[in-house]
Amino acid sequence: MAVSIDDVRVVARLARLEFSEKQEELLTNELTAVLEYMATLDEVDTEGIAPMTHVRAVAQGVRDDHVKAGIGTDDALRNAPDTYADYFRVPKVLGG
Amino acid sequence: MAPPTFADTRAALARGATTCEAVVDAFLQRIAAHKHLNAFVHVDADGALSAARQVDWQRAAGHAPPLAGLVLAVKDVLCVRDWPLSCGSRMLSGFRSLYDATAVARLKASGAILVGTTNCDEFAMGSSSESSWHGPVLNPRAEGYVPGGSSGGSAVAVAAGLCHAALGSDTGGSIRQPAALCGVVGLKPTYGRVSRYGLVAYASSLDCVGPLTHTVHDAAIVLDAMAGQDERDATSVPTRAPHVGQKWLHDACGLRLGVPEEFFGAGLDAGIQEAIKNVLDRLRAAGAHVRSVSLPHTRYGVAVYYILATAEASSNLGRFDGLRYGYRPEGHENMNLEELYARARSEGFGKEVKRRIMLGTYVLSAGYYDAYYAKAQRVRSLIRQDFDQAFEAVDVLVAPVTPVPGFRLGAMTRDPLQMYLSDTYTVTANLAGVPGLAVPAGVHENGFPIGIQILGQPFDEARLLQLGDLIVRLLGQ
Repeated sequence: MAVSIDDVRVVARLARLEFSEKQEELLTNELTAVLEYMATLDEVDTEGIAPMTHVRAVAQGVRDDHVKAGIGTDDALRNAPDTYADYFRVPKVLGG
Repeated sequence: MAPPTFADTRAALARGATTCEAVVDAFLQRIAAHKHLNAFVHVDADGALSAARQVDWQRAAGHAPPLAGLVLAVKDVLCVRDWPLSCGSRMLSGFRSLYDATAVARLKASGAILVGTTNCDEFAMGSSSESSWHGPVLNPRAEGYVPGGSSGGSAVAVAAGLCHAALGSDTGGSIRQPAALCGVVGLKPTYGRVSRYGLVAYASSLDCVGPLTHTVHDAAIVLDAMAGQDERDATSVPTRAPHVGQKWLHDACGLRLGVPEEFFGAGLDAGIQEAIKNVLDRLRAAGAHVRSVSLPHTRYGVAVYYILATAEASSNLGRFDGLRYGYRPEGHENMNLEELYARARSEGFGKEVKRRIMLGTYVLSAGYYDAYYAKAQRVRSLIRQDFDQAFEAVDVLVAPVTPVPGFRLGAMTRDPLQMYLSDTYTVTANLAGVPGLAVPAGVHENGFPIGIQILGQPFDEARLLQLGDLIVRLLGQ
């Protein structure tokens, strides 16, 4: 499966990553090589085989619901790069 | 002088020949003397000494905790309250954990003394410990060669005698492979045996927390202390801890060993093959029944793993956006929100992490999902069936850990696919969810350590540990 540089640009946009043109070219080649290798899975007949989504499909347990202390505001903000009062400060989202 | 195992320290403490404080002090001196290995990213000397004094007081008062004297390092992907947590990434520079991971909390409660966090591949993505923002980790047993990864710092910390034990994480071999390349013991428990709460997620359906140690006994002790269900991880399992205790084997009588033929094909180093044959001969002589078995889908393991793991990673790493914590780029005041996300992630993540996020985003994207992700999930079912069928005929499987005894620093960083293929013998255990133990099995003619891998049925860690211990004794190591 050959990946095009346009594919790389679309996927980068989805992943919220940006690359230089040179990096895009390199990624195009690397992803093509890896995906070509992954195409070996086409050899495997998986007709009628259920996808494995988890190691053990066990019924989830239920526990009593008790109120417990969580992470307080001070702790939650402790690692934030930019804050205002009790808030995380982020760039303007609406408008120009 | 060889650094002590935990059993040595325990005996010395019992004799009154040392104190926890003296033990910690000796390790701290060794850590300082081995800085060039780059095994640690954070050392808390004051905290470790003060924890040691506290355990000494408890001992003096007759209330010694069960792990009194155990000096532990923790891979830099597990939360330790108030300590820096970076996952080997610029993305988390300056971050400090708000709580203890469950595995860490349980070990602390059992008296373990934490000395610091160990270096690793960025976000545990790698097989060489070269992709860390803190620089590569060096292998003390093989100069110029990688220590393996991603838990390379943990393996080196144990191999160089900088602690008794270290925690690692294993998503596709990241405990077993560095353990083998550094000549130490590494255990990847059954998926669900140890809580993942407080482990920074790479691929949630595959991630496991486990110990790296000098001896199999020490691995059993650390596993016992941290295993068990945790209400904070819904995938942790209410099965009792393995409690290997003192039930060690005198011989291998009655043990049914399977040798999976797919693990011994082209690409396996002749010296490693010879070492494993030697182990099997000795086990046979000790009474084991050895037979060949087949795990026919092994050859698809790497493809399945790198589709599923990168897909899960692309989702798990979506949380790193530079808003609530983590790296925020220069000039962010003049960016809009979209620009900030992209810039923070592009400058915060390293090359391999970005490559995997791209790959994972691609295989999950519209039009490719069925061809890659859904297909890989189906082949994963077949890989698990292979193990289920093999375990109908045998108790455990014996195999190599790595195809080669090591590779040079920088040898594979330009060819990601070659690096991925080095995980051939380890990834299938994660895909099937079974436990795997790597133990030293001799020395290669080039002087490098060789590891042997024992794979078992889910929750059969006790048997893996018993057999691993027996192998070590049969080899007279």
